[in-house]
Amino acid sequence: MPLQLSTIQPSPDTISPPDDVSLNFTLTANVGADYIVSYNLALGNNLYFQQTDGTLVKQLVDPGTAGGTLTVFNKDVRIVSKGPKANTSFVLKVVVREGLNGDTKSCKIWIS
Amino acid sequence: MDHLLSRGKTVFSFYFLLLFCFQGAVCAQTVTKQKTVTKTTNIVVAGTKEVTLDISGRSFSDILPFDVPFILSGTTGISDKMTIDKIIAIECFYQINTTRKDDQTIPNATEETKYKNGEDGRMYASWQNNGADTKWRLSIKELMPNRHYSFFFKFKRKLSDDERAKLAEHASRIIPPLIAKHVDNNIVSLSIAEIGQIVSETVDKLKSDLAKNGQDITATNLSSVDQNIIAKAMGDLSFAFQQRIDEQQSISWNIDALKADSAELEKVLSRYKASADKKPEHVNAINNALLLLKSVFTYPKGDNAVNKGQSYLDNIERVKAELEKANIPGDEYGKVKTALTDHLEDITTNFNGYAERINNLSKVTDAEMDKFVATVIRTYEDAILVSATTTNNNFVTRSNSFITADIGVALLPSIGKMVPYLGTNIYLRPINQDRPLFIKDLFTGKDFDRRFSLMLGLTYSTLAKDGYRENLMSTFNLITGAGLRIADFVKVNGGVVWYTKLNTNPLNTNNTVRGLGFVSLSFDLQIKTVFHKLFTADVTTIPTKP
Repeated sequence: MPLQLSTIQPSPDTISPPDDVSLNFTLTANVGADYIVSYNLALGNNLYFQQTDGTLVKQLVDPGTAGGTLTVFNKDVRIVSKGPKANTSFVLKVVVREGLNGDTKSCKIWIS
Repeated sequence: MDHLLSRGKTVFSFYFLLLFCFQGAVCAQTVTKQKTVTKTTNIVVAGTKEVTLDISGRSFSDILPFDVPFILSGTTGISDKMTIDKIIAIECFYQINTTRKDDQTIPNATEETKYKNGEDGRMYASWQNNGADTKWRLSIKELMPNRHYSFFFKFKRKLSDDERAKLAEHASRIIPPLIAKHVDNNIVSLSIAEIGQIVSETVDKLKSDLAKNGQDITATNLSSVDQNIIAKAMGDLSFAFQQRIDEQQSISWNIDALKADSAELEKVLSRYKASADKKPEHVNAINNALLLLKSVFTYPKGDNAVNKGQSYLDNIERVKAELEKANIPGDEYGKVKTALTDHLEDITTNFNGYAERINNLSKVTDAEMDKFVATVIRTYEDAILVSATTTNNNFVTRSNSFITADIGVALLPSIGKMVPYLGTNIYLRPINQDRPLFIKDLFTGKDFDRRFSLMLGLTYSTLAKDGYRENLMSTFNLITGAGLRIADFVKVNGGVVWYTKLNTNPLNTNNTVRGLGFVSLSFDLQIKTVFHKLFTADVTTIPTKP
């Protein structure tokens, strides 16, 4: 069973940082396959994920095991910016890997 | 008594003529100030000469008038296809071409300012399309006579659909590589500043390319709405890039996994070849699969992914078929085969996605570049140089600029007579009688060279006096002198009327030519129709002020 991500649907797709975004997508994998999903922002821009303890990071990592061939994700992330508005939109990239192989998909989020 | 009456009539006629002519001059000035026919930078009066710019021949329809402002007009841009509705504005920069050569260059921005400020004899005119004009008009200031001029025109116009498409195509080659520079940790990230930089670099490159053809584009100052449009266009384009990068990354990972599977397959094959129950067809199938797998490790990129992609996918299918053929019993081969098949399917999915993203990138690029050009580049500029002259090359026509005729009355104080005469005035420079002369400027010395002329004429009433003088020529006498136009068609003159002085001895025929000093007032013959109306028409038909 190939490891495949569906298109990432951000909700909402326009935010005013600091703001929350829900990332909706599905993962297709073999049952029992161990995977790692990571959520990534470009290193150069001034946008960060804010974790529950308040720390700002560029990458969030969620390891997991496929309970079925199709796993539904509704990942809530909080996006904050450092300094004044620098971007009009940004790419949030989701990567899933299992061993050497994997899949990657991105979504675009607008900043108002 | 008759003599007195005759003289009285002459004086009365002269006074009436003078009064009417001044009144006419005032009326003419009043009329011209009321009628403004264009909205250009200079006031252009009714009756002003209009010269047309012949676009195809890069020339004017006529010799340019001098001493008076005139209108330069046309209905098209630099080509007959560029109709007036496409023209936004026209700027005209002109000055005397002292070299009289057609090697004038297009002025740069600094020089343009000098033209606008009127420095060193440079002049400037402009026209804005108000949407209702059927032709463009430029008000050209007074030009000097007998000079060559260089006119530089800048036509600011809208982009035609064809030009917009071409510029978009051009921009689509420039912008993607600029965006590709901003890949950050496999994520395309464009800040507002970077978008501005890309816009600026793109416009600069487009300008540079167009300048080679003497064309120019004007990038507009982007409003906040325009900035949002551009940001969105760049955002969509960069996301299309991002999607392509994502697919490439996925392909790359799955190829890594495939390489590991391939190494495992080699080990399985090695063990199988060493086993007692090996079958050559299975060995051959696995060898074929391993060989074909090497061709799968490298995938076609860019346009090749679209054009040669099917061949790559066919190889993947052949590998899968060879793996099926090698029906080696046992879990070891089964696991490798499943892993290989899964990863090959992953690659097939990712590669199809990659090819689709390339197609999508092309479509997005086309669509977004059209928006880019429409937003950033609103104006296109065409520039042309036209040489022109105010010198008429026809001798007879040119002489008209130097010589005028008038009719006048000369007062000869020394003999107490007034005589009418017909005179020709010879100016020392070409004059354009359409240029108005005002009495108020007379004493300032302004336009002296346009007022002063030499005079030569004939009196047409006799000065003969029995036993004392005879007319110089039959019934005429030569009149010479110089004059000064005090207003448009009124001159004061002074000089000498030449007559034949008879010898006091009636038996002696050796007569002499003598002169009588005179002062005169004369009127240009071109207003003969006014004279005619004055003396022949009913009083009620005399023109009045509007």
